[in-house]
Amino acid sequence: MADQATFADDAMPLMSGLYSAALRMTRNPADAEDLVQETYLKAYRAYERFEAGTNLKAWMYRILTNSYINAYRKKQRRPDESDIDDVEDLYLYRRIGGLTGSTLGRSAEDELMDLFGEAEVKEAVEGLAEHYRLPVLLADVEGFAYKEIAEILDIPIGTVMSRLHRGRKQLQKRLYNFAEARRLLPDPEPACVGADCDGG
Amino acid sequence: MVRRDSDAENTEGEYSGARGAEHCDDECQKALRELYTYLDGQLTIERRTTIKAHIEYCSPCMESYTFEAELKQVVALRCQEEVPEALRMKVFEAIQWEIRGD
Repeated sequence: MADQATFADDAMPLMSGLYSAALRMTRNPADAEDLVQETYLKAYRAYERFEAGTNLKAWMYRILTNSYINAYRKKQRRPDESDIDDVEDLYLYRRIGGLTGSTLGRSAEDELMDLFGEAEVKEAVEGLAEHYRLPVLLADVEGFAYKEIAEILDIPIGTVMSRLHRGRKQLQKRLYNFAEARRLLPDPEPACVGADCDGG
Repeated sequence: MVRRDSDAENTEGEYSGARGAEHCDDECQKALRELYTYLDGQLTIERRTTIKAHIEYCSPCMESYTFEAELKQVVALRCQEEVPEALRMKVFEAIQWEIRGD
């Protein structure tokens, strides 16, 4: 049993992660603030039922996610999955992997930070269909383990893994499209396939 | 992989390079399949050790692992938000209000 008197001390430090996730979920600051406030109130009221010493962060995210789903799921259109199966693994790496390793003295991370600004990464994540967006957020931004994500979203671990796999591919494709639209990438060299190259 | 018998007899010396590449192909496929499970820290210790040993000597795999690891890092960094002070206050006051109401 957790003590309600310690709730603020225990839970307030988690707010910045919860707010970031809420913003990616609702896609606007006013709704994100409402969602975070609702989450904290529900959590406070239920805190006596929270088993002290277990995973408070996962418990708070579960409340956040449920609140979001209850309030917003009705508004969601069915996800468009049509383009996802076309995306191969390592979609981005196959296209820009060469660029990021090319400049001496700079890490691939620096190159990627230059290539993908804050607004673009956020837009790429927010544009993911909801059932890919939540697992990707929880794994890549919040660093939860598959088992925790399964508990937070109340889906089997296998489903977490397959949604993560497909969601990440979709995210990579969206990031690539942004970079391409801004003409940040050099024109790809035309691939030379078999006999086409002979004498050409 | 089908191997002709005449080659098979002679593999130890001459064909070790080709076999190495073959071995690497297979290992690379496995390593790529488990790339994200590795980066997510979700492999068993045994699988993790095997993959780690592979990518340490296989530079193409090492490169793709590094790229994906850094992309994951960039996505996380770019999605951090600062909590508006007003929200922090609002939540804190709402909890105080609940406490007084008890």
